[in-house]
Amino acid sequence: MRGALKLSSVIVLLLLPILGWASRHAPKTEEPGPPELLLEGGRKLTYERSFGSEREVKPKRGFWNRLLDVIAGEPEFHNLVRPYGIAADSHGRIIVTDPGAGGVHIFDFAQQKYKFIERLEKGRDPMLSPQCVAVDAQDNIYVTDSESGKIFVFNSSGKYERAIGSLKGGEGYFKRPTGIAVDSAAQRIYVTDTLRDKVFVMDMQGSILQMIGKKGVANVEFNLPTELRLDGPNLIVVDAMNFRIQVLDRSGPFRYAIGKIGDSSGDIFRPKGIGVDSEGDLYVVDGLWGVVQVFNRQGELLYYFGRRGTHAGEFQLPTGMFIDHDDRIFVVDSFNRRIQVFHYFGLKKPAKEGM
Amino acid sequence: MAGGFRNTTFLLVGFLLLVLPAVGQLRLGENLNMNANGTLSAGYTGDYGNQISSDHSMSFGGAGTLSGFYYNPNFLSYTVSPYVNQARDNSSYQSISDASGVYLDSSIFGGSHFPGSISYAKAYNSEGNFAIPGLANYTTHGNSDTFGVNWAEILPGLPSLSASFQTGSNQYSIYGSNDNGSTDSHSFGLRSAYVLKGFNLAAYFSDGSSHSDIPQVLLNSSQAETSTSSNLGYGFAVGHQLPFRGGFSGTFNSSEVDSNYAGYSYNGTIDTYTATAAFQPTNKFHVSVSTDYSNNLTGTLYQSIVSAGGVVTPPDLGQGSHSFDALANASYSILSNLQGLVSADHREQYFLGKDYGADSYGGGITYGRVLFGGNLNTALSLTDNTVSTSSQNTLGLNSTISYNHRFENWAFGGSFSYAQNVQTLLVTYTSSLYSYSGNIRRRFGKFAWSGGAGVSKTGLTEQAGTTSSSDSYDTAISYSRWIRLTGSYSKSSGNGIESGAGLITAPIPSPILPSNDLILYGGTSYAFGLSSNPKRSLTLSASFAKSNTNSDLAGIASWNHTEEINTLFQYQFRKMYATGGYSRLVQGFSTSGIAPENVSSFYIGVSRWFNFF
Repeated sequence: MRGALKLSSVIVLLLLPILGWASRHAPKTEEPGPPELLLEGGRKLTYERSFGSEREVKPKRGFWNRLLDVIAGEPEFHNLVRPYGIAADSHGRIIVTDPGAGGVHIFDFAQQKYKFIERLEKGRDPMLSPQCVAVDAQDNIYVTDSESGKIFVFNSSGKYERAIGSLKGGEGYFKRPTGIAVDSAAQRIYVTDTLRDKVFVMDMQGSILQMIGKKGVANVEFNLPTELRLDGPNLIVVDAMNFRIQVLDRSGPFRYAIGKIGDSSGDIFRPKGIGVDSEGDLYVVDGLWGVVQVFNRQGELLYYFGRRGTHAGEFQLPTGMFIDHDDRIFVVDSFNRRIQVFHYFGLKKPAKEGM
Repeated sequence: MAGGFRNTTFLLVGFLLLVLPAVGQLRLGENLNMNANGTLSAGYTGDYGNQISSDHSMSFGGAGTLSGFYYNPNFLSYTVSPYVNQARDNSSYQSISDASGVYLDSSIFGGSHFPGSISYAKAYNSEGNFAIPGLANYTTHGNSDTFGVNWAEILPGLPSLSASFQTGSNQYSIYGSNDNGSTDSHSFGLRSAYVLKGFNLAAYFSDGSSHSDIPQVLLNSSQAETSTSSNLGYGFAVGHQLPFRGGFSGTFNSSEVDSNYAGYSYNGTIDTYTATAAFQPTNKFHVSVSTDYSNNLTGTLYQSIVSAGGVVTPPDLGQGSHSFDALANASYSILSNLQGLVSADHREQYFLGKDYGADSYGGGITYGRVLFGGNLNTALSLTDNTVSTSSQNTLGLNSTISYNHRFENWAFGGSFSYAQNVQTLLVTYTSSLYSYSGNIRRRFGKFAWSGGAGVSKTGLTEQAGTTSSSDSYDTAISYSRWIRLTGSYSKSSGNGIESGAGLITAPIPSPILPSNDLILYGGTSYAFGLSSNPKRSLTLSASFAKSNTNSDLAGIASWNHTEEINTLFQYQFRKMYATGGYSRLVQGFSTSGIAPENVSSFYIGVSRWFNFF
């Protein structure tokens, strides 16, 4: 009798894992995205996909890996927890800061590789709350840490190189560094210090060369500036609590500004990430309304996409944005814990159907 | 053999419980939401000792959780957590017994006008504690079960009503003795509240009973002493707002207590009346007056012991004991960090055939500020106490000071308290105490060190043999996550009384409590621990704890000791764990008449975590 029960136990032990594995590997259907947005002059914007986990970097697993999955379970894949900033390097790797996970995700879909950078438990210069990210021409990764007040530099393979702004005693020089951009040709690093209402211009060693702006509402004055982008000769700054985007010359002089406060189309309420496409149009993420608004250089609203929600093409508290050389638009959909990818087909580049 | 059969059956039933709802999910479609996960384990285990037969065999076990809701989490939600044949006490590997059991919790109509909940727990062969105040606990093993139901009606504009029923039982044996203990309790309660024309009205009814067999492990007897008690109570409360941001409340509570212990019985009714009024005419000024009356001072004292879990023969304060208390307090914030307060208290008590009266007038200040970057808090109060019937006059003092500071990689804090001639429940007794404690932490790069110490001593003023004291010291040093060393030492002594869970500190001292119920205890404990996480997936730990105690009850002395070693390694690969451990317990009581018992167990095996659905 006891032998039969033990045999039954073994059978149950063997069946349960298979049941569990099978239930978790039922075929999943991809949610259809929003319809193409057909724009004036044959331009269009299409939804491509979304991702939010290390698992999606290499979706097809080999036989031995699948066998190991059945026996020992799947590995603990890293998932986006509270992603914020995003950038892409010259190899097309997507780099996402994640203050919720306390690190930086590097998605390399081409090589089917993934890496997670963290320094939370380091005794010296721990990285506490990675905020925004930029890469230089050598694909070195620059990450602002809004909590420790430092900028962390990692090489292209994710190895820690140095911390900029680390004072003696371990404190950070910056009060709350957020937006960051790197000009490799001019050997300059641009960083916004949100609580100081300034943009710092530094050389690659971190020596401060120039400070742009002060608190206020006039031109080249800021009220809690956040994200930065370099576009040709322009330095684009999200002037968050003045509800506008200021476009400056890289050396500081004012060029023009876009946006005003309001809750209608074309108004800016909670500006987050920004990006510029190949035609020079400016994309602004609005965190509260869950939309991306696209302006021309005259500040006119051309169109917008997205709305609040959880389905494909919808956003909940979107934050960072990056537009690559192929006009792929990466939007950090923070509360939905995913990156959504769109593709803009403009006039300067013929649309590549099927991509 | 029978245990193995039962455990294997448990394994099957427990996990079939997890699997069957998957079929139910299909039947009930979208309305049933459920998650199931759990760990299945297989390994080799054995146990041996000087009072048990050696046993070793393959072992299969598991622990799982099935949780979810039907239709909506507020409509019906549930959690079922069975665990089977775990070489541990539910989730802690630091155990020498193979525990099995189940926990169930369910709520229905949450957030509605009629919310309810049901909970149930049953455990077999789980470890428990037999306590000695301030020292390491002695180890027990046994079975327990609890069941509870709560339901409420909350309709707007109508009196609310809530009902609860709880029942539980516990049977245990103490390693190193032939003693067994058990408790069995039931309680039922009704509570209602209503707001009528600005008056907050409330009423309750409660009925409870308990039966305990108290092991006489510290005495020269293996015959458990039986204690039974029942308590029927009801009460009313009324409150209303008053001008000057004030309010008043009045309560009436009545309890009928019937208890038996060691051949003595107590049967009495305790009626208490309280009234309170408080005002805050300005943000800085607060004043309150309160009064209470009890028609049975003996019962009030006895209830304070019983509610703490203690069992004693009932104190005898004579027939017709009663008490009355009137208290007034006022406080004024002189500065944002400086507050002054005054109080006046008049107490009248009748016991042992005599009337006693006492008047107390006091004043004090509290003060806090930032000092050298740290936080300093102090309080000082003085009270003049006069017992009118005996012309006894004392000056009461109560003072505390504490300071906490962080400086670069240092963090430290300390506190000191001293009290003298503090009024107790009986006006003829005052108590005094002092205590001080300190802690310090320091980081040296990846090194971290901490240390702490605490000392306290309390007793009745000018009353020999009523002192209780405890000292404790601990330290820890770690290097990153590579290694962590801990050590602790404690020393304790005082007067205790028996309870179903060991000794508890006597809430009321001798001579109010019969001296043949007071157990003098004392002893020392020390412990060391070593742990390491060289990789996130690898855990290594070892611990050693030893305690030597002695006790004396009416000339019967007992020397007792317990010693426990635990080691554990665990390596995680994905969702699989390789686990091994060894535990050893040595425990003995000189009065038990048997040699100290030693029990050892080991386990090595693998387990796999599943997220079934």
